[in-house]
Amino acid sequence: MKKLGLFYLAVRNIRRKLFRTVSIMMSVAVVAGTLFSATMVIYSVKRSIAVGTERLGADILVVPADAETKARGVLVSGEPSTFYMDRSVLDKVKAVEGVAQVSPQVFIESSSFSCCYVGNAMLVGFDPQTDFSVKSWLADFSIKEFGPDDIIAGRGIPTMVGRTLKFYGHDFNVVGVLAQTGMTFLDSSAFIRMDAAYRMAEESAKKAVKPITVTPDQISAVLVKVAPDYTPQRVAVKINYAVDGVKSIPSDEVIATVKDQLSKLLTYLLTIGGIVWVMALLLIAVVFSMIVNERQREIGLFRAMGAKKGFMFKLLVTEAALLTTAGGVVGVALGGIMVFSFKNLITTQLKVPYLWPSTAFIVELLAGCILVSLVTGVLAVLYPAALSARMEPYNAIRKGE
Amino acid sequence: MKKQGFYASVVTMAASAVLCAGVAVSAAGEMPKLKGTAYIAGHGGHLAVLNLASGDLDRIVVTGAGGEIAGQIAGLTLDPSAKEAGGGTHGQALVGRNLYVGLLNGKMMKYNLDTAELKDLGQVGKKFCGTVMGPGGNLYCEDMADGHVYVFDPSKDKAADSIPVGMAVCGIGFDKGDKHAFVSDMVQGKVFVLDWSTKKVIKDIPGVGTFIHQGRMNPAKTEFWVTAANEFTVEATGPVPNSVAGKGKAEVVIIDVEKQEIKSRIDLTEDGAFSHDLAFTPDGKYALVTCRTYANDSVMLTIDTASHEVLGETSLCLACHEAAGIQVTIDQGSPLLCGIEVDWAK
Amino acid sequence: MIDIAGLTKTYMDGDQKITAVDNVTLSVAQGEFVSIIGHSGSGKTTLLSLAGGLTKPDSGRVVIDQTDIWSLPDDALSEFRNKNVNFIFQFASLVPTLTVFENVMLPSAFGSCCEGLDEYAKSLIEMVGLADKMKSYPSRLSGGQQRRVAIARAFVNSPKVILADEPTGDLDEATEAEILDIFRKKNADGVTFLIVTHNQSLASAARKRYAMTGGILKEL
Ligand SMILES: Nc1ncnc2c1ncn2[C@@H]1O[C@H](COP(=O)(O)OP(=O)(O)O)[C@@H](O)[C@H]1O
Ligand SMILES: [Mg+2]
Repeated sequence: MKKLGLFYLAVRNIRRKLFRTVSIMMSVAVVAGTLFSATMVIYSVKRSIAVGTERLGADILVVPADAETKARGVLVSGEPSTFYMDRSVLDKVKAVEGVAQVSPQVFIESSSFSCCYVGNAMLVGFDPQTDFSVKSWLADFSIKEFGPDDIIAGRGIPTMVGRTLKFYGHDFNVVGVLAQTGMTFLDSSAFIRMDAAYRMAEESAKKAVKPITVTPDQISAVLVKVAPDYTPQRVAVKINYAVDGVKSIPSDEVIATVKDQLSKLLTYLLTIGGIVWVMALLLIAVVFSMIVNERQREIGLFRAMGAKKGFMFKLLVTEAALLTTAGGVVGVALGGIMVFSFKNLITTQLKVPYLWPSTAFIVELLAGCILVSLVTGVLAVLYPAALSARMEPYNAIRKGE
Repeated sequence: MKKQGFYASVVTMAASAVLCAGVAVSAAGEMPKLKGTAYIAGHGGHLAVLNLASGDLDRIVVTGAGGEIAGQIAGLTLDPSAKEAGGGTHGQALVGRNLYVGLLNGKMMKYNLDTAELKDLGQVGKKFCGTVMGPGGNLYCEDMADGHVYVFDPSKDKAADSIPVGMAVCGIGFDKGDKHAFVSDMVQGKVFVLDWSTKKVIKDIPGVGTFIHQGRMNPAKTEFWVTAANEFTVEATGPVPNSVAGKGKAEVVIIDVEKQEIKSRIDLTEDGAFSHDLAFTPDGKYALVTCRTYANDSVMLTIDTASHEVLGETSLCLACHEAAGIQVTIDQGSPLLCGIEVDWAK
Repeated sequence: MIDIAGLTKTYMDGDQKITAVDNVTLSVAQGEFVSIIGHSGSGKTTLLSLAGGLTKPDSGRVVIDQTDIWSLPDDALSEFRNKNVNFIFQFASLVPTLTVFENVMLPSAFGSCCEGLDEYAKSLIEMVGLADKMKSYPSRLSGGQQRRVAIARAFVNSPKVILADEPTGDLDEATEAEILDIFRKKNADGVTFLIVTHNQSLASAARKRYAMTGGILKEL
């Protein structure tokens, strides 16, 4: 094996000027980092919302008309809030053309767990008879009977199966803990039977410090599954038309809204990334032109010792590619650290849930970003490298003097 | 003799009948005297108000300006340079004394002609083209962005349905007994036929044009007239302007409602009139076709529905714009008009 | 070994024409040691560069070991240099990022390398008396030491011809004497030398001596 190869020489050259090396690496790192973190965040958020709404299992959420903003908040960012409408809405919605299944839910805001937990969780009462949303999770836990004192906890509630959770003076047995959905509504809510919710409310007057006032004729939302031939959007229009005082929110529309916001953000970030990229390209091209100039005598020397034109070209390209690839690695590492440590900030700023993408996706993205960095180096150095290859050996030596 | 006299009188009568008919035919070449008020929507966000009898022009400001080519149509970006604005009117229908105006941003506005009160009825669709009165006393609004026909109930001022039909639908008409609906699709250049009992597309009539607009059913419900200005050809790569290439005809295409096929075409290319919508006179004898010129005006052509002859042209923008000192800044400086609705009573 | 005939090279200095090498004919037999003296600017370096394939002559021929080098395409010429010729330049021509050993090994980076080159390179470094500096970087060496590294490098590819441009330029007499010694040894092994020098002792060591004035070469 040849010790003193092209690659070795290139690595040695990179070590020559630390400041220059670091500048080039950082410029590429910024590009790769932006690309990596922007794509990560946006993909993650998209995925979270998709998973979350899928987990919700409903095509449309019908809520009181004046609670639309609150309800969207519940769906997208999981901000706990309560709103009620008359139970009669349920039958009216059921009668609308295109509605296949309906199931009511009642939301109870709960800020005070009996112990250990401080956080705004939401208590959701559902109807096991008509439910099609929570039921799929029950199957996950192979629960046949969901009793009046049973509870399913979202991932964000610190408990485990077999424990009890106390709400408003009532003890519930934890029979299941949901997998992480990324959707705060699901992650930080706990699910009980609707009748249990009403009973709890009734008892809260005696048992709880802060009683709740929900009566069995009040519901918070109606979950709707639409018939195969209908789009959620169309059925939502029909429900809004047929039932007074309600607002139907198609869950795919929630996704679309967030996607819209995200694509704006993405364009913004990618524009910045693009500008930095062009600047990095120019910077690298200029720096390498300087390098070629500086090393003229060495280029002449190499040529005198028998280096071919192609060798000189490849040497510079390798040098640049190594630098920018290293920059890319640093960039994705920094981007990764940023995404990881600012995850919470991102979530609160964008008011969106967050779910990590699959490993395969991350690996592909990493590879992609590093490839972009490498290509950046190669592109930027093409001209200086050609310049260095074209020099006549004697001229190079003389000019270097 | 008596018999001869009888024959003579028959011949004379016949002759005079032919003569009268001849006079009638030549009279058809003249502009009819019509009475009524036409409301014509435009991208400028205001309606042109034309007194058909006097020819006086006025306007009603409904909203801000906005072009239909701006933003997206059926997911296509037709003109990336066009700025999407907040308004722009496109079609309107008269319900009593209320004019319901569908906007290019998918909102519905209600304007009371007596009190001049303007009410924003909120977001209904995405990008409205035509707004037409139809079965059940409802308004049918065609959406160019999502290809749905929105059903709007003016008694509740609420959308009742949103029927998926095509990609960028523009105009609608209903046959006798409301058995079928005919819906024109701008970018696909087709007319869809819907079975109105199921509200499902059962057929499409292709080849109407390459870029077509609103359509109307004649009062006899025998012909569905579609305006096909064919400004673009929408190809896989995107829309290619026909006007630039000098190809493409500006036409009105007449669909035979019975046979559900194209019956004839009226070529308006020579008139430089890019047809966009039309209104029939109640007797069905004339069609008032609103057309863009892509110059400094939009016009209304009066067409004889029997002979398909263009009888005259009425300017719709210039006089009013000049009087009000309006400079058109969108759509390359051309005032683009769209839907027409005529109040034949006033 | 080296056959130069009618070699001419002109440069343009503004609109003034400089004939750096003027119709030079020179024949150096295998194993010969030839020196060229001359004032600066007389065209010595240019002549060496033409002879070593570093710059293209306007006219004339350079034949080394039966190869008309200027008829070769560029890549083949590079390969030819790598195998048959080596240079000692006027300047200390070391690569600052490489150690003494690596600098000596440099020519092997451009051609196929032979077994035992490491050992040979080490022996060359020992020969120039820098055995203890094997892993040092050039910046840690004195001017004379750097030059000795360059000399060791000149022999690493076992060239048939050495083209040396003032190889003892700014060295003390003791070092000069050592280098002359090395040259003699290598010359005795059959390496052909063409040396440009100001140094009288080095010049007089040559059996054939030439002088260059204004691009014209004359045998002394
Ligand atoms: N690349 C060049 N461009 C222009 N002039 C040159 C070039 N190389 C050499 N010369 C000129 O040719 C002459 C001979 O130079 P050179 O061969 O370096 O002389 P020496 O080595 O004897 O000092 C000088 O006048 C020098 O200025
Ligand atoms: Mg010289």
